[in-house]
Amino acid sequence: MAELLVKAISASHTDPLKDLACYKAGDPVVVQPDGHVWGAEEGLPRFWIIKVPSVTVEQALAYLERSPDRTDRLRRLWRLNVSSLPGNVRNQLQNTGTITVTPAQIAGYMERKP
Amino acid sequence: MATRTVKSSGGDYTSLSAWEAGRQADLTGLGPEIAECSTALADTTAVVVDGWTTTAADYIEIKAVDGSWASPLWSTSKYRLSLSSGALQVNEHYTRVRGLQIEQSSLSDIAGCVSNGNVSGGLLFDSCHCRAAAGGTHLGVAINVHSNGLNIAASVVVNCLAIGNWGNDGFGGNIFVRAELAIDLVSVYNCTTYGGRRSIRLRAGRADSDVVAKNNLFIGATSTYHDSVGTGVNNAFDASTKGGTDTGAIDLTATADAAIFTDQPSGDYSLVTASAAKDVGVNLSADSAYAFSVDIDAQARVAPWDVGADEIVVLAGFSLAWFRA
Repeated sequence: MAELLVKAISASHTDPLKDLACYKAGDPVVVQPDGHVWGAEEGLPRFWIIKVPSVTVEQALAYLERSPDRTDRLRRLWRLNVSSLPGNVRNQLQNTGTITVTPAQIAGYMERKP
Repeated sequence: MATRTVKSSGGDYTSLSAWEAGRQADLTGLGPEIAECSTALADTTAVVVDGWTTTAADYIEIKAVDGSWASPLWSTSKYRLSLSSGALQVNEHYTRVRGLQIEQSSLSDIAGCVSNGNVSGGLLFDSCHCRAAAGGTHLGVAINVHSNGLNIAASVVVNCLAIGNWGNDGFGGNIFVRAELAIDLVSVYNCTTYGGRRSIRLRAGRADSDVVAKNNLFIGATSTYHDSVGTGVNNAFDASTKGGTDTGAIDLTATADAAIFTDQPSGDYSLVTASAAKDVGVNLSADSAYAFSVDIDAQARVAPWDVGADEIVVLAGFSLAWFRA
């Protein structure tokens, strides 16, 4: 029931404080309902789309959590742990930009940032 | 210059947040980066503009187009940012936000509709309609330009509306401007506020002249309209005032809302044809801090100017107010 738009490439900044505010690969950006028609640039090479038919939009929105401290410039407290994804999942994302997963899989692929 | 569209379908992005994530970059030497928002899209993901590099020539502009430009009457047929909390936070210098409708529903969130942080200046909030989404007593402020301990240079809030009962944390107001170490002006010109604990709060850390409010229409505040250290010039009000420098104030305490706005109870803050806010403003078309000559509807202002975001424009015996009706 939900689709996540996830950053596929990292932005960076020479200022370490501003670099915290740069989206990194794996950061979830937006949640939309199933079947959302994404925009022309909401896909490769900038983004991946992760479809999770059995997770509600409200549940998926938890992955967009930010620090309650507004001076904390970190974009998201959660990320897709790209380096630990199974090879076939990572290949599919890199080749097609889209993957459909189960609730258990998304829970395993997402991690709270240290 | 790069322009991308944000719309419900057929555009580059379907949310402003995704645009910001997708386009985030060092703009130095590249020219402006522009997001054009349109269609009847309720955009429900909070937007933070941060992590960019901008200059005066290489700025960020977020604006409504194609019939989505804000007006004194809120419209669900236009693009709008619609959030529970913290709808739009601007952390980048040289960012322009123009013609957007922005609403927030959380009563406890202090961020409000539009706020900034970690910014030293060059902000322009132009012709935005910011409102409390569902009534109630809000702790936050609708429009917040805050220096956060930094120098804040040449920032402007112009032709905006800040509607609702804001500023109840005892600190802010419907509009809050704070320049603690100002090296230049923060100007609030021709805005309309309705409701709130205070219509506006100006806090100048160095001198009253660093934060200036001119030609604003401040109606319906429960406490004061100008609880400030700053400069007020030619503002119309219907609540008490205290603090700061305040010249040419126009007292509307004896004036009914219906003699000012077309239909305030229904959320129409355009001026009624014979409004008490008509022809009482000063001409800012050659203002040294920020010169402009149109109202929120992009209609040319006519001397003598009206106060607030809207200008009554009479064409051969007709007025826009009649057409809106």
